[in-house]
Amino acid sequence: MNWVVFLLVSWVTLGLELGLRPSIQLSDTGMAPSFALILVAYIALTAPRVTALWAAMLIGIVLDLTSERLSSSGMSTLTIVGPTALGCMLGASAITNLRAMVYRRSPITMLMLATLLSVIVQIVVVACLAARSWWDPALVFHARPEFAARLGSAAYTGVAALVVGPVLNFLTPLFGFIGMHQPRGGSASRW
Amino acid sequence: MPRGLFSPTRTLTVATLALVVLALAPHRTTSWLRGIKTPVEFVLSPVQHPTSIIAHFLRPPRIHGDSDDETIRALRLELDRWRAAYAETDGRILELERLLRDLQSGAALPSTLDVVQIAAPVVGAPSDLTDGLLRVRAGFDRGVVERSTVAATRGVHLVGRVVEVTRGMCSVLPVTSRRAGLIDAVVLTADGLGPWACQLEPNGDGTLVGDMVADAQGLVVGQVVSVRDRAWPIGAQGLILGRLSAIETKPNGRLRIVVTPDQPASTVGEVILRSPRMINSEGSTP
Repeated sequence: MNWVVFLLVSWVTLGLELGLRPSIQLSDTGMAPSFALILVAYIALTAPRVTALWAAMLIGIVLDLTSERLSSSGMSTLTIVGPTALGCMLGASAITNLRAMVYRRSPITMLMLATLLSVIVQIVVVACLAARSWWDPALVFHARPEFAARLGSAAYTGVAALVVGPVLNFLTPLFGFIGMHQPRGGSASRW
Repeated sequence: MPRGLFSPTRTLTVATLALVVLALAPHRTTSWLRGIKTPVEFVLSPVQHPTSIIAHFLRPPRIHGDSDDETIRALRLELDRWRAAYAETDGRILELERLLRDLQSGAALPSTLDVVQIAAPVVGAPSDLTDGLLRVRAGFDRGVVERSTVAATRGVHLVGRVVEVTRGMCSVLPVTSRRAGLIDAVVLTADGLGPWACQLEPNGDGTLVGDMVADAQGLVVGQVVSVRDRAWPIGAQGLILGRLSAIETKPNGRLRIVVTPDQPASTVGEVILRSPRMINSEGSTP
């Protein structure tokens, strides 16, 4: 994969996500699509496995760094790095295992895989934050209501993938994926 | 050096383990991560800020009950300014009466606070929208102070309180966010009997709900509700929270009110940050 192109596309995608999310969220529910997760799903669908995992981790770390949670006092914020990055990696891993069974260029494929990846990410984030809140007094976390809103965001992300997916497919030649259709263990799994 | 020690797969495994540790480690051991956040936001800002401007242009703020007529809108805004000024002055009179009592009992004359206003654009939100935080492009370099600065729209409508400040950015927790907690307020009535005190809490749907004091009367839908809460900074006192959108009588006879802000926090494109400035007893800033 051409990492320069990947970084440029990630930069634009993450900037769009942070700038647009408040405006395209459903009312004040906090449900909004994630363009960055669609990019992770696309990379996991097309790039070699290890490359896809690294890319997922990088995007996940940036999402974690640009995320803010209110502390238990309600008077400051916490920056928690890890949950989204781990979720992205797990989701990307799942897609790399499933991709042999799907038709890559279909918009429905992007819808299904982006939704799947988003759901996996949200499950991992909720699990990590719930576990951390047991011993970290600075973090207050109510898993059930938050998980419901996050599942809504995952579904919304899937719908947004119908639009963003074809754009990413159009950019595929620029990414320079090598051996996209070769079996695992061949040149596809090289760095 | 053994072959493959720094192979991508092995490095990935180590990085994954590091992420697991960071994800689960308590905040006091990971607070240094805030230092990385500022450069990341700086790198993303050339895309984020124009996108935010375009988004606000394409989806202009929804203001409840606003008229299409420019004159009526201007008059309504002017009326809101006077109402906010009245509520602030009324609260100030109570504060001065308390100060007078303190002085009569021998307390020293304290320094007082003035408010500085800073206009700043809302440039988006954190990637996690759970707490409803807004990111505003103004930091401590422009005098924004954590917890002491509040954000308002059109100068008089309270949006929320600043909860985090970096060099060029700050985060505002909207007063309607579930995590914002209780706020004391007063309802301004037209009959001169009020203002009546109430305590409001976020309802989770962008409105605030709460009970009125027992003797409250003369309340009608549409009346303005203003902040009067000593736990909030001086810049928030008197600002308008919203208007009464529902009034119901509880079984115990108390009135329960629903307050709807004129503009939902998620549609705010620009705010006025109201920051405190210390003034000493001679009237000059130190």
